[in-house]
Amino acid sequence: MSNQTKNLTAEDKKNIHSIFWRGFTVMGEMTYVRMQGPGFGWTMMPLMRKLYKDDDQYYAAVKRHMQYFNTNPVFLPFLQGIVYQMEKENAEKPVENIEESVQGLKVGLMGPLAGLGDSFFTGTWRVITTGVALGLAAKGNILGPILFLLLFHIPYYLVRYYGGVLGYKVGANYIAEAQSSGLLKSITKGCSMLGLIMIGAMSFLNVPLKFTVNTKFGGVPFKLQDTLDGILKGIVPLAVIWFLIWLLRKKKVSTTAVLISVIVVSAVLGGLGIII
Amino acid sequence: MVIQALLIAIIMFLTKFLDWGFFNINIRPIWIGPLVGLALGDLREGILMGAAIEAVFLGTFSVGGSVPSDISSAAVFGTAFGILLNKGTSAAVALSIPIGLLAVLLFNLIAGVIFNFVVDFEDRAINNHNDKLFTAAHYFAIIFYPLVFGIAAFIIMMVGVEPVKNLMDNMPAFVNNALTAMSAALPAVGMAILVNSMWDKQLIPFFFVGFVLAAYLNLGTMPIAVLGAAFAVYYILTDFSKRKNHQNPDGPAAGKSGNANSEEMEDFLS
Repeated sequence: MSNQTKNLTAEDKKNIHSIFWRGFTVMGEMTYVRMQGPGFGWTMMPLMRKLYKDDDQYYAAVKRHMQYFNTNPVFLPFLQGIVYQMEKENAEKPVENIEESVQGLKVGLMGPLAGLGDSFFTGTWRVITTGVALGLAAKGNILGPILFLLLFHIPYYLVRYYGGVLGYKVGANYIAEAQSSGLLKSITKGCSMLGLIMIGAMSFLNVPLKFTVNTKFGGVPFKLQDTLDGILKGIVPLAVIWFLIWLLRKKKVSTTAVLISVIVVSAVLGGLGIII
Repeated sequence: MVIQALLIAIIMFLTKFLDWGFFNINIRPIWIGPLVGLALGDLREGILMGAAIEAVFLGTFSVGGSVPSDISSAAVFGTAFGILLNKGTSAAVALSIPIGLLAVLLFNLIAGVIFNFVVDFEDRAINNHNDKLFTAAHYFAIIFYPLVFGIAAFIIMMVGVEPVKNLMDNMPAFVNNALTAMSAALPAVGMAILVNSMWDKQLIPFFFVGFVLAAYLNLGTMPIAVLGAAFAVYYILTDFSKRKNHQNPDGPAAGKSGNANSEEMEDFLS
């Protein structure tokens, strides 16, 4: 692999830059029917034109890349690179069933890659960087927002770019191997683990829910919140969060319904002075 | 007011454009809040409100293209109304929620209805061997979606501030308590959605590890992230070599292939 690294020609770099920059528009015409599909087709147009001088072949290629497609955009250039290599093989020596094999590869990889991108960038890295930035921003420090923009996006764009380089260089075989060997699965699981640790921490740090009712039992002042904290610090947010998870998972309540119920219930309890 | 409304409209356009039109930046209240604050002349309030709205929307993100709530509308209008009405962060948070939910309707109108016609137009362009028309339609879509939101933002800022102000002014005192409780409870929804989206029975115990680290050791997010990353790297390496050995269960060869694979993984990770 390290040998291949040095062998990118100026032409190759130009191709990678083309898919990298065009890839930024892939969400631009998102629909619920074909998702990023038509956008993907548009990002591949210049490279397909280079490969297929014949008009019929060119438009056939663009058309097959406009079909249903959806992934986490961070791995888009990686897939574009792999697709380019497959199309290149086809242009040099027509591959039988190119339509099925290209679409099969895209559909086969977009799921695992979306899973990896979501669990790492959306579920873990975003939560960590937001957590770090929130500490500063909650004090009114402008460094918080700036820190978030830099910390989250620099690795994001690096992975995006070098993913494109990698996909362009190694083609389809390598990633098929990484997937069948379970590497993608291991990484996704590791990221989920880190993500869950962070979510657990932020469940304590960012959910300031507590009881404000104070009464007296036989002349002894009784503060409900203090008693609960004596059992387990943060037991109120913990209980609420797990109740909501139970609703989402076991009762299949929609997120919107959960959101609205929490708004109503917390507003009523807050209005009555029972909770903050 | 016209200038302020225009600035808010531009911010709305930019967040939408940088999100889906070009660049795929991660639109989050934490940095939209300060932008709105800057436009309305109160940066500090913008940062504070952005942070408060972010805490609520932490669990809101787009899953497979569908969004439960429109994050940029929630952040832009929540902060803008919060500052203009001078009602503080809890009012900003409380306003951002219904606005985010309403704005999804506009989003669904575009991605669920209008863009289907664009895609259909593009299909026909490609069938007619006209890729220039495809490009034109693609650019149209990229500009159209942020533009609709920008125009909507301008109109809402021009006509919406007074009614919302009257509404908020005539609210009795207990409503304030209700709003505060709401903004304290809503981050719980975000956390629950996040856990649900990453559900993995085997890994759920680590949620409680994170919780206890924060609650009892008083650690901040950064040290917890470092600890968590150490666990995660260890887990990935062990889990992967286990998978490999499981696939090639023939004695010494298994050890050898384990080595080869860790090199392979370093290549993949680098």
